[in-house]
Amino acid sequence: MDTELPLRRGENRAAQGPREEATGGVRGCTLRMADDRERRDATVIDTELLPPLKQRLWGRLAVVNFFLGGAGAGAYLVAVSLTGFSATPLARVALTLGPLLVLAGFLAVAVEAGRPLRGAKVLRMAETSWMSRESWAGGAFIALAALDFVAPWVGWRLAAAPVALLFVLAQGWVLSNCRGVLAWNVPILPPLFLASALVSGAGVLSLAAPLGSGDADRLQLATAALVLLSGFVWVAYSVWPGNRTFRQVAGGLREDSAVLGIFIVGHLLPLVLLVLGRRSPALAAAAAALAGAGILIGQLQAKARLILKMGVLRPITMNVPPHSSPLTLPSPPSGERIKVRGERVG
Amino acid sequence: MTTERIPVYCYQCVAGPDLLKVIVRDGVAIGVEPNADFAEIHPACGKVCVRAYALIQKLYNPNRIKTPMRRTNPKKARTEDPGWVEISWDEALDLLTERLKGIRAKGLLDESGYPRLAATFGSGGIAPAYLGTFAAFLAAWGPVDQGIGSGQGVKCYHSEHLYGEFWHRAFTVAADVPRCDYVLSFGYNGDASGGVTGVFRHAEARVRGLTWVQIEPHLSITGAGAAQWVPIRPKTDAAVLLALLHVILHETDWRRTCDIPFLESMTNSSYLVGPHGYYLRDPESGKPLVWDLDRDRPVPFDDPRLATPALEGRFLAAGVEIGADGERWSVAEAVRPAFSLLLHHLLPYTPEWAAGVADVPAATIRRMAHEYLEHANVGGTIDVEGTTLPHRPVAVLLGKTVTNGWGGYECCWARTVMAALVGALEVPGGILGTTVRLNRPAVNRLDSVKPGPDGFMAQPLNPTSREKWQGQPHIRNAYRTLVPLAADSPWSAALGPAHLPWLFMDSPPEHWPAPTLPEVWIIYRTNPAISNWETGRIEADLERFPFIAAFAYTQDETNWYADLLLPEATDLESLQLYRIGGTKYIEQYWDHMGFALRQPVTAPPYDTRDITDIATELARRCGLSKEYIEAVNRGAGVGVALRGEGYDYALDPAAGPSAPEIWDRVCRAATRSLTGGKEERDLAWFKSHGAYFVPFSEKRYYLHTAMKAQGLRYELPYQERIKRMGAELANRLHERGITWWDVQLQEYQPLPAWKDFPDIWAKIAVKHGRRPEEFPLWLLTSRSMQYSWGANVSLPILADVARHVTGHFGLMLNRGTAKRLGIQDGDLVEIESATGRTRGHAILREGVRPDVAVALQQFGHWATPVARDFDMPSLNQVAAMDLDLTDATGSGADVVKVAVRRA
Amino acid sequence: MRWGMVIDLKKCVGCQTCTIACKQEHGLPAEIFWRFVADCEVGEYPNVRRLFLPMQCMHCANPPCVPVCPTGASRQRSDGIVFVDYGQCVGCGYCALACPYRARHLIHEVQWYFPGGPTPSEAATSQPERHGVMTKCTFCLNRVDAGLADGLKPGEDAAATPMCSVACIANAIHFGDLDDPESPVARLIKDRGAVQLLPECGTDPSVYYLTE
Repeated sequence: MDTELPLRRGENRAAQGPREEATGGVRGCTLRMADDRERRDATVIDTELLPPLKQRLWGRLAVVNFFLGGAGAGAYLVAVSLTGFSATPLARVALTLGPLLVLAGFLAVAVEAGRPLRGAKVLRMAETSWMSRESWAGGAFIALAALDFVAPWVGWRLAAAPVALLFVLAQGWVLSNCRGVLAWNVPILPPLFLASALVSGAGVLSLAAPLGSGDADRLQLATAALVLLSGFVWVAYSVWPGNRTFRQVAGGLREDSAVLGIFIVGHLLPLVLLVLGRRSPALAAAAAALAGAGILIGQLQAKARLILKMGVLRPITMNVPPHSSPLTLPSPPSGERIKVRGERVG
Repeated sequence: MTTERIPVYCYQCVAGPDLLKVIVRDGVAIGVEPNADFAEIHPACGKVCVRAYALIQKLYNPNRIKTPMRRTNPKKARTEDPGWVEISWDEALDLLTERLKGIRAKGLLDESGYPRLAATFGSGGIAPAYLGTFAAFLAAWGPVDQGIGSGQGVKCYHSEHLYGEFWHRAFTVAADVPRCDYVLSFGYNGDASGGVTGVFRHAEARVRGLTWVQIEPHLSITGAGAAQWVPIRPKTDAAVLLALLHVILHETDWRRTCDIPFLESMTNSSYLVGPHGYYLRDPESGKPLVWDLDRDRPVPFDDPRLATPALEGRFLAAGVEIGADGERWSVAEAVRPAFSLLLHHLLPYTPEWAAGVADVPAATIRRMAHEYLEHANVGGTIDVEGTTLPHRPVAVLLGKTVTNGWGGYECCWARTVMAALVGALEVPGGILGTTVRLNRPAVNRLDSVKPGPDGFMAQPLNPTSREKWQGQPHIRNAYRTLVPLAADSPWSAALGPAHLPWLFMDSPPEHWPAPTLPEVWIIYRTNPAISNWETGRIEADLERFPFIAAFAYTQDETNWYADLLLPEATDLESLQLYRIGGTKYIEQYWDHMGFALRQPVTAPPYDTRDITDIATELARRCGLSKEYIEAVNRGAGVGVALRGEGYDYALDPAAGPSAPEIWDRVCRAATRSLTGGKEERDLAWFKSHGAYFVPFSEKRYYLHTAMKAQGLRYELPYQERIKRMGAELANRLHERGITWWDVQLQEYQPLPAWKDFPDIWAKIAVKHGRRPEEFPLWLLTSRSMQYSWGANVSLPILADVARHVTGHFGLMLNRGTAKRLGIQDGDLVEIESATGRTRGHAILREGVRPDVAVALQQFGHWATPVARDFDMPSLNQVAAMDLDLTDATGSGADVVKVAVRRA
Repeated sequence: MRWGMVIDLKKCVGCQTCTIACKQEHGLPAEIFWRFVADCEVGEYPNVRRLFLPMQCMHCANPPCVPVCPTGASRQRSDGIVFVDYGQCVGCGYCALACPYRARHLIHEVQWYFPGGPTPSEAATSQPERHGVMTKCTFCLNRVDAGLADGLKPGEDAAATPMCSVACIANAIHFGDLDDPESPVARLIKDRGAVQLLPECGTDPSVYYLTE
């Protein structure tokens, strides 16, 4: 028992300066357990030292960018897919609104930036930065769409579509590269953004589409399908595997307000309205418009929640050794004598 | 662009002074840095702490009082704006001088015998490092009441000061950390309060492997770095300490675990004690007797042939006991050595008993006692600068709240006895005194060891004999009258019962001079309306002061009631030379000693004046120039006499010297005095170099050498002199019909016993018509390193950084307790005691006992800029000032029973 | 040569001296901290640990904040120091979200300490090029570079060493060349088994912590 400690009874010490630098070698840390080896093998838990912290860098304007950008590019992608790249009225709506929405998104986020007048610099690092790539893609999309608007040509559309796709995916990749934010730093983000963009785009088109054209019918079907896809991806995200903090944050999507705003208003209601519209053609236009509104409200809420509520900086954790070990000597039975070593002086 | 680095010292807290350089670029002070010139000399590599970095903001603070100001609103109350108007320095000094001259005309003492002039300096004894020559002005003046309490007196270590100096010249006690292996700390929070040097030493020691056990009701900064946290119930430390003694003496073979030679030859353990509780003395010589086991008879303690004194047993012996006022008894009966009485005294204090009182498991108490013994290295030695000294690497440290108020005596005694049992008193590794302030000389505590009666040191106690007792209180805290242990040094006034002047102002006790307010009260670096208990009552008293002249940094809660605000030049704006090095509280242990300079680093931003110049001018206006200069020449305020062997830098009493002139002479005299006259450095040298040092032997850390050299013993464990002192004081007070100090007189026990200390605080409720059960929680305080002293509450940069340290700015509560009370993190809560209420925001913690709440420091500001917006509660707002809470040394403690509920 | 830091958690007492020294050295405005010491609590009463964790930029060997930057303002030197070229920064905030260590701080608007405007010292040390852009710990590269130019040794000579290390009253912050096996930092890492924060992020920080 007492032989385990390097006892120094009656020990004579040589001169020792009070400020001898403590160099390496752990003679004994204050958390020393009776057996050093046992301590190192003991299972230690990743202890949370600093709790997750809501990020405050990207706010509502960033949400606007992600929402409008996705909606604009998505509208364009849905339109040209449905119309086969021909310049139908639907396509012209998308072609006008799409780039405007993307541009509005860019402007919103520029206002939030610290030095907006330096905005052009964000194009410099396309080689490494997804934000750069997003800017290039978005910019190219706006330019190509503008050209198509001014001088319609299928070639512009054929070029603009992949660029729009890249833009939407880039937004997802921008977030998934945020290693500081657990809820974003997952591979499902780009597909999530794609699904969200497409369904948002369908929602925009549903709101803005002219009545009674052939496109409207196909748009209805496409919208319903995209709602299902979007719903599936958002649900998948909400149950995506991850560590405790991630699951806690992602689980926010299952909160009552999220379920109501995103899944019910944003997905279930539009589906019901679209089905209704198919059953009662007289109501189709109105139903489609309402469905579109519901979709957009849902996606806006989802993006807002994603950025503002789920944008939580990961906790700072560390392998902290277990709580202080007991003092090195167990308590001897009462009455037992402490062995004494060393000579008494004098 | 020119950049200068100007050396100054920082003494914003009592753990200093330390050295730094102020970086001045193109005339603007922009930062501070450690003074690397002294990295080898300074015990913490020339560093300074967080608060020193805020000195720049302290200098440029736009909320400072920028020029003298005069009150225009005659009504004084919290709700009455003083109506400050700016005036010139001339007018300001005129106003003050007029009052002062009025006093001189009437007489320096009033009808109650109290000085008409009072002066209170705050900041725990730091003031002298910033006061320039002001102390010389007061010395020239005559009687001044320096006892009207502020935080300096009320919140300081107190019992440890008085008993510590009495037992081992320890104004405060430090562990010899660099040579120590095991520390039991009952609330000593050195990692927050020990300053740069304390933190540095502890950090090194932790890495080296020192085991630190922190016994404290909440997990403080120091507890964080400890090997173990023992969450003890507040004010029960004495129980655990007594139980530790019990384990050592009754559960181990003390003859083998303790340092018998030390006990036999350096304590009063062997002194025989008679039936009246006094030493059995030789009738002729009066010397205490011990039983010589070899010759089987009693002999005087200093008999040269005594080899084996008895520590235990009963012996038939004859002699005399001398009690109070010379009362004598002849004794011829079985008597026991003091150590035997100690053994008997400790019998009831089992770990099981203590566990019930203190909520510390008996097994933990036993473990601590055994570890203490295991680390004590009894019989071991260590080489210190070529001298072999005993090495006992164990220490027991006490926190302020433990040494203050009831229980302080018991804890200080038990801790010091624990050291004595293993010989860990004033030797390498053990507990050491840091300095002396009641004894003289202040600069060398070893020199204050002089032979006194009965083989112990001579003590400068205030007399309690009928002939010499100061029955008439000489100042309002009456320390000479009530507290023999407070001695009578320049520091004693601050160490008397600091809150009694306030207490007695509106409820004077019987048979006591009528309370009078001072006609002029000068205050400096103190804010009693924040730092005293029962702040509401202080404010009510302040309303009635006739004239308060406040040296003011910003508007604050006390100078709100002042008549005159004088913005003296602060830390980086004025000139002063100050002693540094050697040994000093809190954990300043140097291998050099010397003097350091503080100097203006740039042109002062506002209309401030160096307090040395103010003092010189006041002296002139009051017609006291000659006395003032003579006081300076004697060393008052400047720390060193200007005349010495082989040098004379005395100022001409007829001249009106400027601050640089005075300090230049001080620089020269200081360096001469340090070097035995061989070296001299002037002000210009100090301005460029910052400090001058000579070597200081580490052997001087240990009183052991001085005690051994003079063949003296420590007056432990038996407190015969204290018993007699108490009996005599009782006689004196009763002769005057004073019975209101009787409870305090009970503290004068030769072997202190446990009393139900927690109950004392619980019962305050009853006094105010409430039930103790209404206030189930203990409200405590703890140190904020970011905020202690220095008027730092008004500096936003410190709020900025302090927010990272838990406790800023709210009330810390146990999470489980909060849940029970329906309180969530951040909720506004009300804190109520029997005497007051306050509010704060809840901070939920695991590291707080369920029956405890902690409010850091003392905030509660309502006038001080920046601080008034903290919404931070203060214990002082709800703590009572009450004689019932005052111990024999005149101290109270920062504990209050409260209730906490959602606001 | 790779600059690194070793922080001894056994020594740190959370006093924030490093925090304020850094603020002073870099003239940081109110509420901006390039470093601070976190006051952490672990466990449940009475088995509680409290520890102090200095936090600052880790100057990672694989910094996630550098590749995400769209303008190239977020860069890394060959000696490992990660810094921001203020003139190129647009203040988008992306790098701060890519950082798992909360090390980056966007100074949107400068807040003076007092409502009336800057004090002389604030005015003298304010850096307008840092307004609206991302800022962070720089390992005091100005001190390091100037020191090296003067023949001084960073980590040993105070003038060439980051201010936090210079100021730390517990001597808990060590700075030096991780690539030099004889440097104090390298030796401490080896002898006392230092750990990095969040190693699972794959960032390979240049700041190590001693817990034992």
